[in-house]
Amino acid sequence: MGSTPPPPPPPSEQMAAELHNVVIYVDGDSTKLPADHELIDARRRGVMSQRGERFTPHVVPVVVGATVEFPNDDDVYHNVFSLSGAAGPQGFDLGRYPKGASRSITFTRSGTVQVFCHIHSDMSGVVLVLPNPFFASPDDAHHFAIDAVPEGTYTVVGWHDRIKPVTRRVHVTAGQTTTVNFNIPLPQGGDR
Amino acid sequence: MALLAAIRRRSLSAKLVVLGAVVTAAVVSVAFWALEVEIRANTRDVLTAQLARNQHTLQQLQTRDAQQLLFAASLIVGTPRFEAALSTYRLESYTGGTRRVELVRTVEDELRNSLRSVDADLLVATDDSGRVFASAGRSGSLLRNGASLFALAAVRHAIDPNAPADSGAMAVLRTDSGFVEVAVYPVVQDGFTLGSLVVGRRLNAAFASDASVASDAAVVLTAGDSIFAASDGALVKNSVASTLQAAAVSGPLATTVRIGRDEYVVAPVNLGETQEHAPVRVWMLQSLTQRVGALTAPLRSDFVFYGALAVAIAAIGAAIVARGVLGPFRRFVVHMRSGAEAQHQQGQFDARDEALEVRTLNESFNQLMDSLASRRRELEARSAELVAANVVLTDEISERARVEQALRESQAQLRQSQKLEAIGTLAGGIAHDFNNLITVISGYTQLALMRTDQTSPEAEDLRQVVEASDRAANLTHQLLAFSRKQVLQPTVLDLSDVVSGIAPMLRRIIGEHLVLRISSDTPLARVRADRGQLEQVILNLAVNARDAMQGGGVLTIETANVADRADARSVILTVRDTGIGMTHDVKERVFEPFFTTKEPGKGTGLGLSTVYGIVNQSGGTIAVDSELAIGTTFTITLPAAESVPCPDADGAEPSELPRGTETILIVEDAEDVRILTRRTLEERGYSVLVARNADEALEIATVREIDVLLTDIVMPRTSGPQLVNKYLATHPSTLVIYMSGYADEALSQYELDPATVFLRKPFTPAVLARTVRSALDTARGARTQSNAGSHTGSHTGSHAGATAD
Repeated sequence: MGSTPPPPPPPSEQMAAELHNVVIYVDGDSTKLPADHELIDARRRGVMSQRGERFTPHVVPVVVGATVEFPNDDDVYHNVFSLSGAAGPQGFDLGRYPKGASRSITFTRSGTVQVFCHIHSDMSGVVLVLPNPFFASPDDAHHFAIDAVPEGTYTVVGWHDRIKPVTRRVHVTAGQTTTVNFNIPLPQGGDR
Repeated sequence: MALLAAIRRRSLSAKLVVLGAVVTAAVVSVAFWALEVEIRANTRDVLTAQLARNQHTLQQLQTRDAQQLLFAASLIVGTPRFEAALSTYRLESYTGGTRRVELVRTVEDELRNSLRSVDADLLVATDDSGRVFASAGRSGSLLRNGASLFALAAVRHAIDPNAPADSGAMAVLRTDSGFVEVAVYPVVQDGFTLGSLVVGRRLNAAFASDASVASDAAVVLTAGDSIFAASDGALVKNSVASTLQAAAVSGPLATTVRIGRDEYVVAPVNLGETQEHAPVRVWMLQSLTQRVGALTAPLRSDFVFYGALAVAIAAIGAAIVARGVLGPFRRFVVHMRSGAEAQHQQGQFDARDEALEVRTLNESFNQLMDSLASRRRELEARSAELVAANVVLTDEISERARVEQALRESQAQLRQSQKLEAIGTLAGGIAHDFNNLITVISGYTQLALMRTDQTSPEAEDLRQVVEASDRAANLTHQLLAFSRKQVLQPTVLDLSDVVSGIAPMLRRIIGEHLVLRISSDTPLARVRADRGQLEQVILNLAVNARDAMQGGGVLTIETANVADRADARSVILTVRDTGIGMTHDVKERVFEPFFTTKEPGKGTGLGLSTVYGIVNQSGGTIAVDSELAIGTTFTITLPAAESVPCPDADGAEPSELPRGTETILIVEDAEDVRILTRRTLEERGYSVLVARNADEALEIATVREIDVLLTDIVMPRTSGPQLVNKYLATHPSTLVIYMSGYADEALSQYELDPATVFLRKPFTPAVLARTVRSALDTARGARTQSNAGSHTGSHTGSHAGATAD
């Protein structure tokens, strides 16, 4: 599925930064959205570094079954824990570990998993565990492109961790690029 | 009042002592009262200032508490799990996730852990819509999860920084188990609000007592108009709540209010509003009454002690002063009183050594005594004058009483005479008309009688009419006399002559059981009157007197000179009896015509009326004085005649009448006729005997030689002719003269001797005298000549015999 991004308005720096935290994905599980294993495997790997007392990137979208690495790149100890239900009723806690060390966890259920640092309460990140590999993060031109989407009618979701997900119904025709415009109201006050 | 009266009776010194004590007590009381007022005002100011300071302190404490709570909140909010849980919840809620129990429990665990380390009673986590996510409290959960605290301004402000902040540092949260003062801290992650953390401390009795200790005042906590906690349970009352609610309106400053019987100074500190917008306040109360009482109680005992001391000193002082001042006065008074009791003036009081006031008093007293003595002398002189004046006055009064009595009597007489005058006028008018009528009746009856057979019964009837007419004429005559309508022939005469002239006849009339006394002044002034009428007056009065003295008595007739005020002389004629007297009512009416006290048939009621009429017509007056069982006195006053008496002026007739010395027996059953006849003949010198009927006449004839038998014809039982027949049988030489009121023809039945001398009634004295003389002379001549008889006709005279009443 090809996508021709519309001429975007020149985003502010903050907007640009925030846009990186937006994920566009096609709703639906793998039974409806068959994908080749190559694509799936490529997206079953994710890394969220702890750097400058931040989880970087802030948002890491992966396919169900993916294993995400949390390497500590800072000079201080960090911790990774989650209370999100998508990571099991009790969430998980990877414990504290020093610089250079890394821990990982495999997400077996789709959902939004928020991760925090036990030591640094301001640190937070989101691992977006999706049921299929048809999702996209913005490119440098702030376009979201999802390729090889089978023909069919889908719900396309625009996600950002500060807002409720924005959805669009779209019909994808084989061989064609279907363009969907999203207007995602980024919440004010964000300062990260 | 009884107390006042008792005090009033006390002595002056006692009063002085009481006054001193009372005044001192009053001064002390007023001083204490003024002091208490001052103390109260000062205390109020002090308390007000103190509470104002406490207000400030408490507010600062609250601010500090709030800051502490907020600091604690900030620590809690900063814990990663707390923040992570809220953040996770928020994100999950975007995709339809509910409040997962794991998350809630995580937060609750965090809150509970925090409670151990912070000085708070309640921790509440809300989501970004103000709903309770989880909470923890020292006494268990106080809020239901999911309940909205959005109504709390502090929560709204925490969630949305654009929302207005609370005015105070804190808010108050009403929970199921009480009020909690809270600070609210926002939960923010990456600049985005996740919710809020409410940190609270309970507003309970412990809080109140802490505040009470801190402010040194009673503390009451109110929410709206109700009290929910207090340092003193006694203050939890509706009345206190409403009083404080009213005080709150006046603002945040300390004010004075009245709670029950005590006064309080109160000051509020605002704690903020509840989620229901009820203002919550901390009230500090200072009891003004207690504070003042604490100050004044010792003062009061001091005042009572020193006041009592002052009262006692004042009383003692007053007693001393009273003794010093009043002692000399008392001695002075005792001295004067002993002088007064001894009834004489003692030596003067020695006041030289006494106080100035006493000396002055003594001086004044001595002057007063001198003044009194001179005044008393004046009074005695004045009273002597008064006594003399009083004597004069008494005389004047009794004189006036006499005059008034006389005036009353003369007024009574005037009334009486006016009454009689009126009756007389009436009677005279009637009598005049009657006379005319009787003349007609009599005249026509006599005419009828002349034309009638004298022996017929009709003639007898007519004669009865004539007789009745004569009697009626007689009555009218008397009425005329009373009413002074008759013709008088006054002459100047000596009243004593009249009395002595009639005296022999009076003696016979009154009978032998009565004594007749006659007296007279000599010489007696003469009066001008009709002699015959005067005789009739005396006769009538004498007959009345006799009738009043059935059981014997004295009849006194006096004539006397009287000089009255006008210097004109009068003569009085007094007829006095010692009879039964008259009652006042009888006396009043005694001169009225037809008024009589005699049995019916015995009197006409005209006798005294006639007397009255005659006296009045003669220019005199008549008065009657009578007393029951003592007697009656008639007093007639006649004016003295000024002219020289001329006895011959009218006295010619009597002297011309023929006189004689023969003895004449009068037989007459009608008393008046008998008396008149007797009087006339006695005046003419005859010796007169009287008999009321034939039997008496025959009896007299046996003892006395009689020259003339003068007899009535018609008499009861034995008639005149029958008597004559019997008498002539023994005394054939006696001259007989018949008298009768009947007509000649009427006498024919008696078969009188045609030569019989007949005297027709009524006759005048002159006719009587001439008839008797003529008859005697004729008889003597006849005896001389052995023949001849004359029939002396007579006519009706104008003067009839009197009827004595």
